[in-house]
Amino acid sequence: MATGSTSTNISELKKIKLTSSEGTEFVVDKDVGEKSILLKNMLEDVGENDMAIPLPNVTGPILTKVIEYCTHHRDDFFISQDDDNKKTSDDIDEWDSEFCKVDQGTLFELILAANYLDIKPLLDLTCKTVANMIKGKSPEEIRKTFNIANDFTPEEEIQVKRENEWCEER
Amino acid sequence: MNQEQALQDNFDLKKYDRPLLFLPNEITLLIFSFLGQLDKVNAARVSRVWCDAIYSPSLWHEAMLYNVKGFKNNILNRLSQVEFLEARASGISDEEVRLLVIGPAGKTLKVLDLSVGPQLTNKCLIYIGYHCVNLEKLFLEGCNQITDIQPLEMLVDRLKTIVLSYNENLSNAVFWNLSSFGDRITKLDLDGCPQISDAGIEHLAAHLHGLRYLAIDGQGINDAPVISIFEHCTDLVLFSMSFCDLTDVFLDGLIRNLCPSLRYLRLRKGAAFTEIGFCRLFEHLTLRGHSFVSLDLSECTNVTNIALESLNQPQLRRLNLDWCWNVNDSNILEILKRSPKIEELFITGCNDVTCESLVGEKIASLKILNLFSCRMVERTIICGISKSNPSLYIVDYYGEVYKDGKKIGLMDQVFIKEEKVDSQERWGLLNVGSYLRFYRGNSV
Amino acid sequence: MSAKRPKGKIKVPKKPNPTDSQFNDNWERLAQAIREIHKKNASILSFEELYRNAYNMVLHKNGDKLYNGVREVITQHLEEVAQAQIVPAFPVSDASTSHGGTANGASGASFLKVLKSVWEDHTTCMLMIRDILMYMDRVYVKTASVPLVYDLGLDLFRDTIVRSPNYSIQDHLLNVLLQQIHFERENDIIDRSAVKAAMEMLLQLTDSPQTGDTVYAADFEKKFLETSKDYYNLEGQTLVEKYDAPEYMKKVEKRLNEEEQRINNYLSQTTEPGIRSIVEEQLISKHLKTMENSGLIPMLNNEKMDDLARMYKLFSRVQQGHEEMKSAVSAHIRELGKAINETVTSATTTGEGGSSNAGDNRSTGTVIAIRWVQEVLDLKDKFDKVLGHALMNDKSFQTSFNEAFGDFINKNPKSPEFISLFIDENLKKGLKGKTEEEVDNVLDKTLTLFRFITEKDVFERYYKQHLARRLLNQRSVSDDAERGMIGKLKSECGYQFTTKLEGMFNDMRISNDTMVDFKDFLDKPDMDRPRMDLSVTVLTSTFWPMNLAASPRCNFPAEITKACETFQKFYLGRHSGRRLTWQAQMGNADIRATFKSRKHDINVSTCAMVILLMFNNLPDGQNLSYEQIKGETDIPEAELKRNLQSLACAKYKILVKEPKSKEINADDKFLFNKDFSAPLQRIKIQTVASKIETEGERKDTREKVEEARKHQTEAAIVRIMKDRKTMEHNNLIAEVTRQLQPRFVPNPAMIKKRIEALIDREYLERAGDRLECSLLSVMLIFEFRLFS
Repeated sequence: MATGSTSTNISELKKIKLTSSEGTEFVVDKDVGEKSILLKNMLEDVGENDMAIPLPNVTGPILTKVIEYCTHHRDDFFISQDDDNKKTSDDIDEWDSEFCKVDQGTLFELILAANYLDIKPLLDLTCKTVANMIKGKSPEEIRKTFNIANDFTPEEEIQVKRENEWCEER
Repeated sequence: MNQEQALQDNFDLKKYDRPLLFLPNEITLLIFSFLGQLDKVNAARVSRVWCDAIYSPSLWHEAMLYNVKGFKNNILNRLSQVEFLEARASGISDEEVRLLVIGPAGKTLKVLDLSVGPQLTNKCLIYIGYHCVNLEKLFLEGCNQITDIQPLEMLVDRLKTIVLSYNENLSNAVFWNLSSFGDRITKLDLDGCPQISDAGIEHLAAHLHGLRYLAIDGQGINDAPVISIFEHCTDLVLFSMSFCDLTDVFLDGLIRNLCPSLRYLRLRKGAAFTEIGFCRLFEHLTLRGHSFVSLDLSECTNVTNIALESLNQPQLRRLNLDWCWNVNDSNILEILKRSPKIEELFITGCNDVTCESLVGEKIASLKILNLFSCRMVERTIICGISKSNPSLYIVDYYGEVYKDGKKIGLMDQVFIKEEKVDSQERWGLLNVGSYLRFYRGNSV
Repeated sequence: MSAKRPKGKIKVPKKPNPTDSQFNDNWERLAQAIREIHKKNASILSFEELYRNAYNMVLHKNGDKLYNGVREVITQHLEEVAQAQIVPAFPVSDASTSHGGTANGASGASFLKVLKSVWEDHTTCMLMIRDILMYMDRVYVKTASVPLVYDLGLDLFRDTIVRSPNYSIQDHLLNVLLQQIHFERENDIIDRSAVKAAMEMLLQLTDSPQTGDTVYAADFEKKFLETSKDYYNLEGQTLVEKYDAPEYMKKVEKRLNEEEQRINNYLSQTTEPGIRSIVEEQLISKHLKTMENSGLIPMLNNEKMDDLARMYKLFSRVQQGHEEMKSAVSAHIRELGKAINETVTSATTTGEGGSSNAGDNRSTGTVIAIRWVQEVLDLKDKFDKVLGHALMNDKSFQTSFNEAFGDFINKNPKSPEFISLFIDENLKKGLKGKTEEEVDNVLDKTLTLFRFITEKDVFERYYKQHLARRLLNQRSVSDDAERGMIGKLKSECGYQFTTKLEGMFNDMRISNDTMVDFKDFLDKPDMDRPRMDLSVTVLTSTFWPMNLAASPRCNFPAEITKACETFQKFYLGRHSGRRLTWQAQMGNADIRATFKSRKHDINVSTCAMVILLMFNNLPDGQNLSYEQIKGETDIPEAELKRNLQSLACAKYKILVKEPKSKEINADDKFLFNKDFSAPLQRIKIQTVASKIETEGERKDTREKVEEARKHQTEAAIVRIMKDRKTMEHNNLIAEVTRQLQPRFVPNPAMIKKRIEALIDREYLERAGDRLECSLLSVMLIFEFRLFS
């Protein structure tokens, strides 16, 4: 229980159990778990019971990270802003940026987990982190970063360049 | 629960060399949606899969068209969901505007900037009027061939911002069309349209009462119609008039009808305003506790030190006194201190200013001090001011920029650090004053 | 990317591809789950497993198969529901309607209840299905641009239930709904909640994504409006036959309220404009004339403010309503005004024809004038009241009323004179014991009548005459009241209108000062003082209405001439270059006369004084003939007769006339009446002074006005032409008319004549079909300034 929590809502005191793909059981506060829209809907539709919720799509280490994130942000009010918010990746705060300092494999697993569990802020954060790895780099540098092979023929390369001339100041 | 299948579904990404390739398409698009236009172009050149993804129209809600090279299906497809399109000085033609708006983009466009399009004619407005049913803002600065805005009347329900500045062929007829918008139009820029006269301004004051931002040219326009603007448009936030031919009668009218929302005031070249007129204006502002955020009185030669004695504007962030050559050092420091939020001071061409009084003073809020063409300001003094204000940008007589005592380049090449105009703001305001300098940031 | 790309370069990862059988497994599990939900067995399902099934299907690009599968399962279920639950609940067939509405109404209501429960079940199920398929909604639906699964559920409900191609559910539903509303209009009680539920259902279903309309709008609303139109068409005809206008309007108001209530109770707000305009059209627009003809005039006559207000409110709802009402009321005002004008003309003609007594005639004239103004004011008051109490001070009504008032007021050619006389009456000293405030109030009202007058210049002329008389005879109630009135006129008509009036006041003030100085002048020791007190009022000829240059002759006796000369010497000594003309017909004099019994102080006019002084030197008992008096005094005949009449034939007979009669004849003889006596020491001999004008005077006034108009018209023409240099003939006439309007309405023929005159005098010249200004015009302007 976070000591900073000022609310005395009873539902907050409730715990829920989750099982990772390896079968490890995690116990989390209900309000932390409900940062996931999937879990939130599930709890609403199925109702109260003590059964552990199985999450066969998420491994233990990743679930640990996800719980860490949701616990840190438990008091944040996530506004569900879909398209109209500013699409920029420059607004990551310090904790979040520390949180995302992981190897690429973990980062991608986090993305998938956030997608599956439907935690929009975590999905945005992880995707922004990937976007920042692309920003300001030349095509060749991007390929290096993500270990991507250049599958263009030279003619195709010229064509793509031509197709984008209107986007660049010249 | 089928454990085996669950494991199978959850493919372990660490095993692959290029995990990004295997994310579901929807996630790849989400990642790319955080990229700017230039980064998107670079990403498209990485690989075929990326190129395909980058070309999806959902990533091009906002776009800048720098030129019309290869303006055909490829571009039109990519822009089929575009909402904000800037095609300033892109050389886009009537026909290309037509191709754009008759397609799906016509329905999605909310903001369209076609400024500096001398080749565009009235025809393009007909296309826009018919097809851009959701258009909210239209920028047509410097489109000299556009003389008849009647087709825009088809957009009265949505269109709220219209910029028609720097168009020497635009006549008062424009107001007859605008009046069908009534209260709905909120931002209007007609700066640099010399054909507009008193009759037009009177019509404006009689019909467009919802205006919040208004910029007009002042040539040949008299006090009375401009005063009636202030009598009727009581929600004005910004008012700008260049080539201000007005007299003190207007200043008195402004005092009488001062609307509380007015934050940005620009009266350029108001050479007929007198020292007494300004004294009275400034005193009344103080008396009512009205403070502007930005005040531009450039080329109002009777803004003197005596007048400035009465200037007391605690919220002021920008003050422009370019070419007010009767100003000298005697109370510049005083003015800066009375406006604790002041960020920019422009005194181009004030030949009596030496700036000696500023040496050794720390003016925390000040970011830009423009002393271009100020003959009397010595280099040593600029360095002196720099010493106590290391982050201040100072422009010298020759237009060279100093920061922390060092030359860092010419005026129009230096970018102010940590200052960027985000798209909301870029689309949100009129281009008034010296580009965006006049009101950048802190939009009301 | 348009380039073809060769295969084989990308290393395809060893990704476990779910086989078709896995997909089928996934799907079968989901389909079964949806069936269980429909059977209300949701509690046995594992939410996470189902979500993951759907998630995997979408992730592996099987979103379309999933989506279509779901569509099929739901459709199938709804088909079953339609057959098993809804069809059996169809209301009793039409054949039974003849047995009475109530039975049918009840079976209709129970049909609605069944539909309601089916609808509620469906939406509950759809919410659960939506939660399971959340990922499909988030990802597949967006890229495929298909409706969200919940919306899909609504569309399926629409197509399989509400608009079922197999069963006539739609017809039954609409009929039941329309019938229920009909019952309610006929004051039956219906189950509103059942109707409301059905309406809400129709509102949630969309007709088609293109229009964005609801099924409510597309299916129900149209029919509802059609039947309502028929209903109210009939209703309007019945009510109009049964009730008079006030009662009818109450019924209409009630119907409007009912329909508004119905909207709030169970219909959509979007229907409100439609149904409102139908009731307005059928009950108001169609019967406008009937209501007006049968009710408006009696309501006005009896000042039924509530009914009038109701009519105003109802009529405001329809397009021509206010126009109709306005013109009907205005026509009524014109009628009443015409009646007032007629009583006046009949009174004046009988008055003038029937009496030979000039004095009586004049006073009845004034009475008529005052009665006319008072009646017009009363009428104005009445309609101001109507305007304020019933018409919410509607500006357009006010304008229309004003036009009506203006029309009939200007139809009476004497209205400018009457209004001026009315003001004269109120500004005269000591009248009717009115307080200053009351007088002010009356004058303010009179001013509203003044506004209606088009011939303001005629009014000005009369006002000047009346004012002059008040000032010179010192009959003004007070200087303040006079100035107040002038102030009011000034604010109405501008500075120019009142300069001369103010000039008259100025003359009075300066004359007072002059008299003080004159006394000082006389007190000088070497002064040969005249034997009488002389008081002089000096008038500036241009300010005053009378023609001072052509003053009537009158020979003063030597003594008086001497006194006049003394004053003249004094005055011209101070103001050289001025010319004084004595106006014998205007002053008055106090003389002390010795009669047999006592002495009296008599106040008489200057002329009467001159006449009486002739008897001073006459031996007792000797008389003077009319001819003698005329010869000696040289007073013009009309003036002389008037004065002799007042001395010999009126209340105080200072002179005795032979032979006795009321008229003065050329062979009459006059004798000083030594035996005269009166109870008072001081008496005043009134010269019978004209009040209302005689026909001759009126003609004179008219001519003067016409003359002034000529000058003003020419001045206006020149002013305009000087400004424009060249102008088309018709435009010039229009502009002149516009400029002169505040003073009078010039007629085009007159303007044309003036233009011709100016051309003759070479101030203007023709240039094709245009007129051009010639060089002389500048001088002309100067000339006209003097006149205007």
